[in-house]
Amino acid sequence: MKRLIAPVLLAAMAVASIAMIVARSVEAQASTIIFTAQMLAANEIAPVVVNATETGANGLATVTLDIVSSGGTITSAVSRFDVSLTGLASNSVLILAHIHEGSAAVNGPIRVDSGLSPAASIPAPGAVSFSRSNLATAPAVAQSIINNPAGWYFNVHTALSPGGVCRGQLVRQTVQTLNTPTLSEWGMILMTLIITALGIYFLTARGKVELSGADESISLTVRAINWKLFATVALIVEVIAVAILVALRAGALDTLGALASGLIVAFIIHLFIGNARRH
Amino acid sequence: MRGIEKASAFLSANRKALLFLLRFALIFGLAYFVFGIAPGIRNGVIRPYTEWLARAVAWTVNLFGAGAMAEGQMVSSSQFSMQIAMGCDGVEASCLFLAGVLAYPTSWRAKMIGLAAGLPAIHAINLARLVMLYYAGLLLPSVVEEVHVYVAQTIVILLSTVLLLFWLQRVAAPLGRA
Repeated sequence: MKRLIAPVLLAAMAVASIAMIVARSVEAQASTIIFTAQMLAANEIAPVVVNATETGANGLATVTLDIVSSGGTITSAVSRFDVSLTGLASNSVLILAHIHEGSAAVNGPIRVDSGLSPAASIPAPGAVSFSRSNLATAPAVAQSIINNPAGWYFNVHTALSPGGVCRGQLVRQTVQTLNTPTLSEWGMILMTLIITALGIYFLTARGKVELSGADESISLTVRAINWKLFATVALIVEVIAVAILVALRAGALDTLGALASGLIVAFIIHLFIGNARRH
Repeated sequence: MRGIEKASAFLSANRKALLFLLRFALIFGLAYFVFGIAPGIRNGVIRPYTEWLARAVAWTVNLFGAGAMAEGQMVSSSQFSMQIAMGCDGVEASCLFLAGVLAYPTSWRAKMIGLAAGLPAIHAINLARLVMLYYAGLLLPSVVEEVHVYVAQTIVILLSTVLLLFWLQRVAAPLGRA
Protein backbone atom coordinates (compact mmCIF):
# COMPACT_ATOMS: atom_id res chain seq x y z
CA MET A 1 0.00 0.00 0.00
CA LYS A 2 2.64 2.48 1.08
CA ARG A 3 4.65 1.82 -2.05
CA LEU A 4 1.72 2.91 -4.16
CA ILE A 5 1.40 6.40 -2.74
CA ALA A 6 4.37 7.97 -4.46
CA PRO A 7 3.72 6.45 -7.88
CA VAL A 8 0.05 7.40 -7.69
CA LEU A 9 0.93 10.98 -6.78
CA LEU A 10 3.47 11.19 -9.57
CA ALA A 11 1.07 9.62 -12.04
CA ALA A 12 -1.57 12.18 -11.05
CA MET A 13 0.91 14.97 -11.65
CA ALA A 14 1.96 13.54 -14.98
CA VAL A 15 -1.69 13.19 -16.03
CA ALA A 16 -2.37 16.77 -14.93
CA SER A 17 0.60 18.02 -16.96
CA ILE A 18 -0.44 16.07 -20.04
CA ALA A 19 -4.04 17.25 -19.68
CA MET A 20 -2.89 20.84 -19.59
CA ILE A 21 -0.67 20.34 -22.61
CA VAL A 22 -3.54 18.75 -24.51
CA ALA A 23 -5.82 21.58 -23.45
CA ARG A 24 -3.25 24.01 -24.74
CA SER A 25 -2.85 22.18 -28.04
CA VAL A 26 -6.51 22.76 -28.88
CA GLU A 27 -6.46 26.45 -27.95
CA ALA A 28 -6.12 29.07 -30.67
CA GLN A 29 -2.75 29.02 -32.38
CA ALA A 30 -1.46 31.74 -34.67
CA SER A 31 0.78 31.10 -37.63
CA THR A 32 1.98 32.84 -40.74
CA ILE A 33 2.23 31.43 -44.24
CA ILE A 34 3.84 33.28 -47.11
CA PHE A 35 3.01 32.97 -50.82
CA THR A 36 4.45 34.70 -53.83
CA ALA A 37 3.13 35.27 -57.33
CA GLN A 38 5.38 36.03 -60.31
CA MET A 39 3.15 38.23 -62.45
CA LEU A 40 3.34 38.77 -66.22
CA ALA A 41 1.09 40.63 -68.65
CA ALA A 42 1.29 37.56 -70.87
CA ASN A 43 -0.45 35.53 -68.18
CA GLU A 44 -3.73 37.40 -68.64
CA ILE A 45 -6.45 35.22 -70.16
CA ALA A 46 -8.94 36.30 -72.87
CA PRO A 47 -11.28 38.09 -72.88
CA VAL A 48 -8.96 40.25 -70.76
CA VAL A 49 -6.89 42.47 -73.01
CA VAL A 50 -3.76 44.28 -71.85
CA ASN A 51 -3.31 47.76 -73.24
CA ALA A 52 -0.58 47.89 -75.89
CA THR A 53 1.49 50.33 -73.78
CA GLU A 54 1.53 47.89 -70.82
CA THR A 55 2.33 44.54 -72.39
CA GLY A 56 5.75 44.52 -70.72
CA ALA A 57 4.21 44.70 -67.25
CA ASN A 58 5.58 42.25 -64.75
CA GLY A 59 6.15 42.05 -61.02
CA LEU A 60 6.14 40.15 -57.78
CA ALA A 61 3.33 39.92 -55.24
CA THR A 62 4.07 38.58 -51.77
CA VAL A 63 0.99 37.46 -49.89
CA THR A 64 1.43 36.98 -46.13
CA LEU A 65 -1.43 35.04 -44.62
CA ASP A 66 -1.80 35.36 -40.84
CA ILE A 67 -4.14 32.67 -39.60
CA VAL A 68 -5.51 31.69 -36.22
CA SER A 69 -6.54 28.06 -35.94
CA SER A 70 -8.16 25.99 -33.26
CA GLY A 71 -8.18 22.21 -33.28
CA GLY A 72 -6.81 22.19 -36.82
CA THR A 73 -9.52 24.49 -38.21
CA ILE A 74 -8.81 28.06 -39.28
CA THR A 75 -11.02 30.41 -37.28
CA SER A 76 -9.80 33.76 -38.61
CA ALA A 77 -7.36 35.05 -41.21
CA VAL A 78 -5.97 38.32 -42.50
CA SER A 79 -3.73 38.94 -45.49
CA ARG A 80 -0.97 41.36 -46.31
CA PHE A 81 0.01 42.23 -49.87
CA ASP A 82 3.48 43.49 -50.83
CA VAL A 83 3.53 44.20 -54.56
CA SER A 84 6.21 45.54 -56.88
CA LEU A 85 5.63 46.13 -60.58
CA THR A 86 7.71 47.28 -63.53
CA GLY A 87 7.23 47.55 -67.30
CA LEU A 88 4.19 49.79 -66.95
CA ALA A 89 3.40 52.79 -69.13
CA SER A 90 4.42 56.29 -68.08
CA ASN A 91 0.77 57.15 -67.46
CA SER A 92 -0.26 53.88 -65.76
CA VAL A 93 -2.43 54.10 -62.66
CA LEU A 94 -3.19 51.09 -60.45
CA ILE A 95 -6.89 50.90 -59.71
CA LEU A 96 -7.42 47.37 -58.37
CA ALA A 97 -5.46 44.39 -57.02
CA HIS A 98 -6.91 41.10 -55.79
CA ILE A 99 -6.45 37.44 -55.16
CA HIS A 100 -8.74 35.53 -57.49
CA GLU A 101 -9.81 31.93 -57.30
CA GLY A 102 -8.83 30.09 -60.46
CA SER A 103 -6.16 28.14 -62.26
CA ALA A 104 -3.72 29.68 -64.74
CA ALA A 105 -6.15 28.97 -67.60
CA VAL A 106 -9.27 30.74 -66.31
CA ASN A 107 -10.51 34.09 -65.08
CA GLY A 108 -11.95 33.51 -61.64
CA PRO A 109 -13.88 35.47 -59.03
CA ILE A 110 -12.28 37.91 -56.58
CA ARG A 111 -11.76 36.44 -53.10
CA VAL A 112 -9.36 38.82 -51.31
CA ASP A 113 -9.42 42.53 -52.09
CA SER A 114 -6.48 44.91 -51.60
CA GLY A 115 -8.75 47.90 -50.96
CA LEU A 116 -7.46 49.72 -54.04
CA SER A 117 -10.19 51.34 -56.13
CA PRO A 118 -10.46 53.85 -58.96
CA ALA A 119 -11.17 56.43 -56.27
CA ALA A 120 -8.16 55.33 -54.21
CA SER A 121 -5.73 54.61 -57.05
CA ILE A 122 -1.93 54.58 -57.11
CA PRO A 123 0.00 56.38 -59.88
CA ALA A 124 2.49 53.94 -61.43
CA PRO A 125 4.67 55.72 -63.96
CA GLY A 126 6.72 52.81 -65.31
CA ALA A 127 7.18 51.08 -61.95
CA VAL A 128 5.61 51.07 -58.51
CA SER A 129 5.61 49.25 -55.17
CA PHE A 130 2.84 49.21 -52.64
CA SER A 131 1.71 47.31 -49.55
CA ARG A 132 -1.65 46.70 -47.94
CA SER A 133 -2.17 44.96 -44.61
CA ASN A 134 -5.00 43.63 -42.42
CA LEU A 135 -7.01 42.61 -45.47
CA ALA A 136 -10.14 40.65 -44.59
CA THR A 137 -9.81 37.02 -45.63
CA ALA A 138 -12.51 34.42 -45.11
CA PRO A 139 -11.24 31.38 -43.16
CA ALA A 140 -12.52 29.04 -45.89
CA VAL A 141 -10.61 31.04 -48.52
CA ALA A 142 -7.44 30.94 -46.41
CA GLN A 143 -7.78 27.19 -45.98
CA SER A 144 -8.33 26.70 -49.69
CA ILE A 145 -5.29 28.83 -50.60
CA ILE A 146 -3.16 26.81 -48.19
CA ASN A 147 -4.47 23.51 -49.55
CA ASN A 148 -3.95 24.42 -53.20
CA PRO A 149 -2.12 27.70 -53.88
CA ALA A 150 -1.89 26.89 -57.59
CA GLY A 151 -5.67 27.24 -57.77
CA TRP A 152 -5.39 30.94 -56.90
CA TYR A 153 -3.83 33.92 -58.68
CA PHE A 154 -2.89 37.51 -57.98
CA ASN A 155 -4.09 40.07 -60.48
CA VAL A 156 -3.34 43.78 -60.76
CA HIS A 157 -5.53 46.13 -62.77
CA THR A 158 -4.73 49.56 -64.19
CA ALA A 159 -6.88 52.28 -65.66
CA LEU A 160 -5.45 51.44 -69.08
CA SER A 161 -6.01 47.68 -68.60
CA PRO A 162 -9.04 47.48 -66.31
CA GLY A 163 -9.50 43.74 -66.88
CA GLY A 164 -5.95 43.10 -65.62
CA VAL A 165 -2.45 44.25 -66.48
CA CYS A 166 -0.49 41.27 -65.15
CA ARG A 167 -1.21 38.17 -63.10
CA GLY A 168 0.49 35.13 -61.59
CA GLN A 169 -0.45 31.96 -59.70
CA LEU A 170 0.31 31.78 -55.99
CA VAL A 171 3.26 29.66 -54.86
CA ARG A 172 3.88 28.80 -51.24
CA GLN A 173 7.21 30.27 -50.21
CA THR A 174 9.86 27.63 -49.80
CA VAL A 175 11.83 29.51 -47.16
CA GLN A 176 11.94 27.24 -44.13
CA THR A 177 9.85 28.53 -41.27
CA LEU A 178 10.47 27.13 -37.82
CA ASN A 179 8.05 27.15 -34.94
CA THR A 180 10.02 27.06 -31.72
CA PRO A 181 8.23 25.82 -28.59
CA THR A 182 10.47 26.02 -25.52
CA LEU A 183 9.51 22.57 -24.25
CA SER A 184 7.81 19.67 -25.99
CA GLU A 185 5.39 17.38 -24.14
CA TRP A 186 8.20 15.07 -23.06
CA GLY A 187 10.44 18.03 -22.27
CA MET A 188 7.82 19.40 -19.94
CA ILE A 189 7.22 16.04 -18.26
CA LEU A 190 10.96 15.51 -17.79
CA MET A 191 11.50 18.98 -16.37
CA THR A 192 8.55 18.48 -13.99
CA LEU A 193 10.02 15.20 -12.78
CA ILE A 194 13.55 16.57 -12.43
CA ILE A 195 12.40 19.56 -10.39
CA THR A 196 10.26 17.42 -8.09
CA ALA A 197 13.08 14.89 -7.75
CA LEU A 198 15.49 17.66 -6.74
CA GLY A 199 13.07 19.05 -4.17
CA ILE A 200 12.36 15.63 -2.68
CA TYR A 201 16.06 14.77 -2.64
CA PHE A 202 16.86 17.89 -0.64
CA LEU A 203 13.96 17.21 1.72
CA THR A 204 14.51 13.52 2.35
CA ALA A 205 18.11 12.62 1.74
CA ARG A 206 20.15 15.49 3.05
CA GLY A 207 19.07 15.77 6.67
CA LYS A 208 20.91 14.73 9.78
CA VAL A 209 19.81 12.13 12.30
CA GLU A 210 20.36 13.07 15.93
CA LEU A 211 21.03 10.20 18.32
CA SER A 212 20.85 11.21 21.96
CA GLY A 213 22.23 9.19 24.85
CA ALA A 214 22.27 9.85 28.57
CA ASP A 215 25.48 11.84 28.48
CA GLU A 216 26.07 12.75 24.87
CA SER A 217 24.44 13.04 21.49
CA ILE A 218 25.88 12.29 18.06
CA SER A 219 24.80 13.48 14.66
CA LEU A 220 24.97 11.27 11.56
CA THR A 221 24.61 12.60 8.04
CA VAL A 222 22.03 10.64 6.10
CA ARG A 223 23.38 8.67 3.15
CA ALA A 224 21.88 10.34 0.14
CA ILE A 225 21.34 7.57 -2.38
CA ASN A 226 20.90 3.85 -1.83
CA TRP A 227 22.15 2.60 -5.18
CA LYS A 228 20.99 -0.98 -4.64
CA LEU A 229 17.44 0.13 -3.83
CA PHE A 230 17.49 2.61 -6.71
CA ALA A 231 18.60 -0.10 -9.15
CA THR A 232 15.83 -2.43 -7.97
CA VAL A 233 13.10 0.22 -8.24
CA ALA A 234 14.45 1.42 -11.60
CA LEU A 235 14.36 -2.11 -12.95
CA ILE A 236 10.72 -2.56 -11.93
CA VAL A 237 9.62 0.83 -13.26
CA GLU A 238 11.47 0.44 -16.56
CA VAL A 239 10.08 -3.06 -17.13
CA ILE A 240 6.56 -1.69 -16.63
CA ALA A 241 7.35 1.24 -18.94
CA VAL A 242 8.71 -1.08 -21.65
CA ALA A 243 5.61 -3.29 -21.40
CA ILE A 244 3.36 -0.26 -21.87
CA LEU A 245 5.51 1.08 -24.73
CA VAL A 246 5.39 -2.26 -26.52
CA ALA A 247 1.64 -2.49 -26.03
CA LEU A 248 1.19 1.03 -27.43
CA ARG A 249 3.72 0.47 -30.24
CA ALA A 250 5.39 3.72 -29.26
CA GLY A 251 7.82 5.55 -31.53
CA ALA A 252 11.46 6.33 -30.82
CA LEU A 253 10.82 9.74 -29.24
CA ASP A 254 8.09 8.42 -26.92
CA THR A 255 10.29 5.47 -25.96
CA LEU A 256 13.18 7.75 -25.12
CA GLY A 257 10.93 10.12 -23.15
CA ALA A 258 9.17 7.34 -21.25
CA LEU A 259 12.38 5.53 -20.30
CA ALA A 260 14.08 8.73 -19.15
CA SER A 261 10.96 9.69 -17.17
CA GLY A 262 10.80 6.17 -15.69
CA LEU A 263 14.33 6.54 -14.41
CA ILE A 264 13.50 9.79 -12.61
CA VAL A 265 10.25 8.36 -11.23
CA ALA A 266 12.25 5.39 -9.92
CA PHE A 267 14.70 7.79 -8.28
CA ILE A 268 11.84 9.61 -6.53
CA ILE A 269 10.21 6.37 -5.37
CA HIS A 270 13.56 5.16 -4.04
CA LEU A 271 13.94 8.40 -2.07
CA PHE A 272 10.52 7.88 -0.49
CA ILE A 273 11.21 4.26 0.41
CA GLY A 274 14.69 5.03 1.72
CA ASN A 275 13.37 7.85 3.86
CA ALA A 276 10.57 5.70 5.30
CA ARG A 277 13.07 2.95 6.14
CA ARG A 278 15.35 5.38 7.94
CA HIS A 279 12.49 6.52 10.13
CA MET B 1 -4.18 -3.12 11.04
CA ARG B 2 -0.46 -3.53 10.57
CA GLY B 3 -0.85 -2.29 7.00
CA ILE B 4 -2.54 0.89 8.18
CA GLU B 5 0.22 1.45 10.70
CA LYS B 6 2.84 0.97 8.01
CA ALA B 7 1.06 3.38 5.66
CA SER B 8 0.73 5.89 8.44
CA ALA B 9 4.44 5.56 9.26
CA PHE B 10 5.33 5.97 5.57
CA LEU B 11 3.21 9.10 5.26
CA SER B 12 4.59 10.48 8.48
CA ALA B 13 8.20 9.86 7.42
CA ASN B 14 7.65 11.45 4.00
CA ARG B 15 5.28 14.16 5.15
CA LYS B 16 7.53 17.06 4.12
CA ALA B 17 8.25 15.61 0.70
CA LEU B 18 4.61 14.73 0.02
CA LEU B 19 3.51 18.21 1.04
CA PHE B 20 6.16 19.61 -1.29
CA LEU B 21 4.71 17.50 -4.12
CA LEU B 22 1.18 18.62 -3.37
CA ARG B 23 2.16 22.30 -3.15
CA PHE B 24 4.21 21.96 -6.35
CA ALA B 25 1.26 20.47 -8.26
CA LEU B 26 -1.14 23.15 -7.00
CA ILE B 27 1.17 26.10 -7.63
CA PHE B 28 2.19 24.83 -11.05
CA GLY B 29 -1.44 24.20 -12.01
CA LEU B 30 -2.41 27.70 -10.92
CA ALA B 31 0.60 29.42 -12.54
CA TYR B 32 0.14 27.51 -15.79
CA PHE B 33 -3.56 28.35 -15.86
CA VAL B 34 -2.81 32.04 -15.34
CA PHE B 35 0.13 32.39 -17.74
CA GLY B 36 -0.40 29.47 -20.11
CA ILE B 37 -4.14 29.14 -20.58
CA ALA B 38 -6.15 32.18 -19.40
CA PRO B 39 -6.99 33.92 -22.71
CA GLY B 40 -6.81 37.46 -21.29
CA ILE B 41 -3.22 37.08 -20.14
CA ARG B 42 -2.23 34.97 -23.14
CA ASN B 43 -3.40 37.64 -25.56
CA GLY B 44 -2.74 40.71 -23.42
CA VAL B 45 0.65 39.84 -21.95
CA ILE B 46 2.24 36.74 -23.46
CA ARG B 47 1.50 37.51 -27.11
CA PRO B 48 3.08 41.00 -26.90
CA TYR B 49 5.97 39.35 -25.07
CA THR B 50 6.50 36.90 -27.95
CA GLU B 51 6.48 39.86 -30.34
CA TRP B 52 9.08 41.54 -28.15
CA LEU B 53 11.10 38.30 -28.24
CA ALA B 54 10.95 38.37 -32.06
CA ARG B 55 12.29 41.92 -32.06
CA ALA B 56 14.98 40.97 -29.52
CA VAL B 57 16.09 38.01 -31.66
CA ALA B 58 16.18 40.17 -34.81
CA TRP B 59 18.13 42.89 -32.98
CA THR B 60 20.62 40.37 -31.60
CA VAL B 61 21.28 38.55 -34.87
CA ASN B 62 21.49 41.87 -36.73
CA LEU B 63 24.38 42.85 -34.46
CA PHE B 64 26.31 40.27 -36.49
CA GLY B 65 24.87 41.32 -39.84
CA ALA B 66 22.14 38.71 -40.34
CA GLY B 67 19.83 41.16 -42.10
CA ALA B 68 16.79 39.83 -40.26
CA MET B 69 13.49 41.62 -39.83
CA ALA B 70 10.86 41.17 -37.12
CA GLU B 71 7.21 41.52 -37.97
CA GLY B 72 4.76 40.46 -35.29
CA GLN B 73 5.95 37.08 -34.05
CA MET B 74 8.01 36.38 -37.18
CA VAL B 75 11.74 36.84 -37.51
CA SER B 76 12.66 36.51 -41.15
CA SER B 77 15.39 37.05 -43.64
CA SER B 78 15.76 36.02 -47.27
CA GLN B 79 17.06 32.58 -46.23
CA PHE B 80 15.15 31.62 -43.12
CA SER B 81 12.16 32.61 -41.08
CA MET B 82 11.21 31.64 -37.58
CA GLN B 83 7.93 32.13 -35.76
CA ILE B 84 8.02 32.79 -32.05
CA ALA B 85 4.48 31.69 -31.34
CA MET B 86 2.71 31.01 -28.07
CA GLY B 87 4.62 28.20 -26.38
CA CYS B 88 7.99 29.55 -27.49
CA ASP B 89 7.88 32.02 -24.65
CA GLY B 90 9.47 30.03 -21.82
CA VAL B 91 6.21 30.09 -19.85
CA GLU B 92 6.21 26.36 -19.06
CA ALA B 93 9.81 26.37 -17.83
CA SER B 94 9.14 29.52 -15.76
CA CYS B 95 5.98 28.03 -14.20
CA LEU B 96 7.84 24.83 -13.29
CA PHE B 97 10.72 26.78 -11.76
CA LEU B 98 8.33 29.08 -9.91
CA ALA B 99 6.38 26.10 -8.54
CA GLY B 100 9.60 24.37 -7.47
CA VAL B 101 10.83 27.45 -5.59
CA LEU B 102 7.52 28.38 -3.97
CA ALA B 103 6.67 24.80 -2.99
CA TYR B 104 9.98 24.17 -1.27
CA PRO B 105 9.76 24.71 2.50
CA THR B 106 12.20 27.52 3.16
CA SER B 107 12.08 31.18 4.16
CA TRP B 108 10.21 33.72 2.03
CA ARG B 109 13.45 35.65 1.66
CA ALA B 110 15.06 32.61 0.04
CA LYS B 111 12.05 32.15 -2.22
CA MET B 112 12.10 35.77 -3.35
CA ILE B 113 15.82 35.56 -4.09
CA GLY B 114 15.18 32.41 -6.11
CA LEU B 115 12.41 33.95 -8.17
CA ALA B 116 14.15 37.31 -8.65
CA ALA B 117 17.28 35.65 -9.99
CA GLY B 118 15.86 32.49 -11.54
CA LEU B 119 12.96 33.73 -13.66
CA PRO B 120 14.93 36.41 -15.56
CA ALA B 121 17.71 33.85 -16.02
CA ILE B 122 15.28 31.34 -17.55
CA HIS B 123 13.99 33.97 -19.97
CA ALA B 124 17.56 34.94 -20.86
CA ILE B 125 18.25 31.25 -21.54
CA ASN B 126 15.14 31.11 -23.74
CA LEU B 127 16.24 34.19 -25.69
CA ALA B 128 19.69 32.65 -26.18
CA ARG B 129 17.97 29.45 -27.36
CA LEU B 130 15.95 31.39 -29.95
CA VAL B 131 19.06 33.18 -31.24
CA MET B 132 20.87 29.84 -31.44
CA LEU B 133 17.93 28.33 -33.35
CA TYR B 134 17.91 31.23 -35.78
CA TYR B 135 21.56 30.66 -36.57
CA ALA B 136 20.93 26.91 -36.79
CA GLY B 137 18.21 27.65 -39.35
CA LEU B 138 20.55 29.89 -41.33
CA LEU B 139 23.66 27.74 -41.20
CA LEU B 140 22.36 24.18 -40.68
CA PRO B 141 18.88 24.15 -42.23
CA SER B 142 18.89 20.37 -42.72
CA VAL B 143 19.23 19.66 -39.00
CA VAL B 144 17.46 22.65 -37.48
CA GLU B 145 14.48 20.54 -36.38
CA GLU B 146 16.77 18.11 -34.54
CA VAL B 147 18.70 20.98 -32.97
CA HIS B 148 15.39 22.41 -31.83
CA VAL B 149 13.85 19.19 -30.46
CA TYR B 150 16.89 17.60 -28.86
CA VAL B 151 19.68 20.11 -28.25
CA ALA B 152 17.84 23.35 -27.44
CA GLN B 153 15.29 21.70 -25.14
CA THR B 154 17.95 19.76 -23.31
CA ILE B 155 19.91 22.95 -22.74
CA VAL B 156 16.83 24.72 -21.36
CA ILE B 157 15.99 21.81 -19.03
CA LEU B 158 19.56 21.36 -17.84
CA LEU B 159 20.25 25.04 -17.22
CA SER B 160 16.92 25.52 -15.43
CA THR B 161 17.68 22.48 -13.30
CA VAL B 162 21.17 23.77 -12.50
CA LEU B 163 19.60 27.08 -11.44
CA LEU B 164 17.22 25.29 -9.10
CA LEU B 165 19.98 23.05 -7.77
CA PHE B 166 22.17 26.08 -7.09
CA TRP B 167 19.28 27.80 -5.32
CA LEU B 168 18.47 24.72 -3.21
CA GLN B 169 22.10 24.25 -2.23
CA ARG B 170 23.26 27.81 -1.69
CA VAL B 171 20.13 29.78 -0.80
CA ALA B 172 17.16 27.64 0.23
CA ALA B 173 18.99 25.29 2.59
CA PRO B 174 21.08 27.92 4.46
CA LEU B 175 18.29 30.50 4.72
CA GLY B 176 15.78 27.77 5.58
CA ARG B 177 17.89 26.84 8.59
CA ALA B 178 18.42 30.46 9.65
